[in-house]
Amino acid sequence: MIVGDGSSSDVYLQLFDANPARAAEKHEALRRRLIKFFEWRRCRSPEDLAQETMARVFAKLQNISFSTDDPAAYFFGCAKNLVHEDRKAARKDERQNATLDNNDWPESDDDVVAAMDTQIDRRTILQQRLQSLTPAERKLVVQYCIRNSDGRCRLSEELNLTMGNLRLQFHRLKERLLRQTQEKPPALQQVRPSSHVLDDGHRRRQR
Amino acid sequence: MTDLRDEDLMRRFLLEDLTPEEREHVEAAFFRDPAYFDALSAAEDELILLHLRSELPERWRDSFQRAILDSPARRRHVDDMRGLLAASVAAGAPPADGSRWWKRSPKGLGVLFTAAAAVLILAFGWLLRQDRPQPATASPAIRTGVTPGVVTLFLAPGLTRADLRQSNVFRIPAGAARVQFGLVVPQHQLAEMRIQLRPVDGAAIATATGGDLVVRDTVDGLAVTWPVPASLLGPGDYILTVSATPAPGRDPESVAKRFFSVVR
Repeated sequence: MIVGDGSSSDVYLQLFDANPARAAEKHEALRRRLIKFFEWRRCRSPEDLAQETMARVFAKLQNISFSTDDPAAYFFGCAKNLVHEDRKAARKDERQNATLDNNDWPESDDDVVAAMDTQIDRRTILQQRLQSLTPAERKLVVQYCIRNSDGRCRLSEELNLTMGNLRLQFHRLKERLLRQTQEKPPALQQVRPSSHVLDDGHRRRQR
Repeated sequence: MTDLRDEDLMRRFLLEDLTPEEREHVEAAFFRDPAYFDALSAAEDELILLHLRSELPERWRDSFQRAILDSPARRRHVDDMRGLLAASVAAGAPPADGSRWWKRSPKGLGVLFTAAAAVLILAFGWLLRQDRPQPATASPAIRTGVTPGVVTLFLAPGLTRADLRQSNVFRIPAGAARVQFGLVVPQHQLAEMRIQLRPVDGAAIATATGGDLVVRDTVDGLAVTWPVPASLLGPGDYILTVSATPAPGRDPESVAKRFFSVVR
């Protein structure tokens, strides 16, 4: 049993594990579950709501005690309350937006092109990151993606895995690759598609 | 007693097709058990991949549309998986001659990645063509993550009108304000470029000239992007034509034509 004294975030981390490093890992894992929970509940800003859930539990440490047997249950309860609040706020926003003029042209061309660039960049990075996997990992990801359902069954046999394990391994590798795409590699600016063809690596408007 | 590992239950949870009691049960379980959460997330990946490969059984498609494609947060995962699929297609292609030519060239690595980016664009076209076995399936337009309300349609080349109902079929979300067309014209030098959008059996509904277009050179030609209001595109079949003057003193001619279909 941990009794919060409101003095330190250490108490908060102890909810997860006595070892600080393991506690930080478990905290991050729980944050990911919260984000998914809000996504699966169709909430508007899952990451913000996950953060808010954690902030509320942290605040409660000051005046209540927690059992460490199942800390996730506290977060789950708090998250469910936030779903109701989010739905209520969404309905209110919808009512307000209905009375405003709807401007159908909110972004500039630069915004649109920037979004295109972001997509292209991300996919280029993904391809680079695929090369950073071990050959076995890369084979699993590539073959899992490009084979059809029957082919994936054959792949599981080739790799001596059950379908469930193959699916899990693919999911974990995919998550790792996507996390890595958030960190743009320094070399990327040198390898943009149009970099040495037109005008120093930037798009141009045709004259 | 509910079997939480039952694949049908997990799929129904992901497609929002279960009772409130079942939902509560599944949610409590994935908060309690990280391994169960991973299994659910992996099952979601599988559903998305089935969708992107047009292998999603007919009976699940409506639920997939409502639960995943109509949800901005979950649709982002579809975009992520589409990117990984395109990268995997490119990575899965064998090298032309097996030699590691890029290691011999000081500029080789840059050229390699430039080519890889172009392959990704082409891979999108390839992926769209994979929808052919199931003509009724509409590819969801790619929704950009940083500019809500804008959807991007990559128009695959080499399609005839006969192919129209089997490929380049897009669903544009109801809330979209703008559509951004993207295509690659297989030329590197073009003057006086003009682009026209019209229904297959109708007059032009939008045109643009060079100044309205964003053009980038790639190894496979000019990548052209053109934004139009989404309200222009009701359900139906369309042709997008690019014409240009290939050389000074010559008459303009059609340099690219793309057929596509929109469902709402």
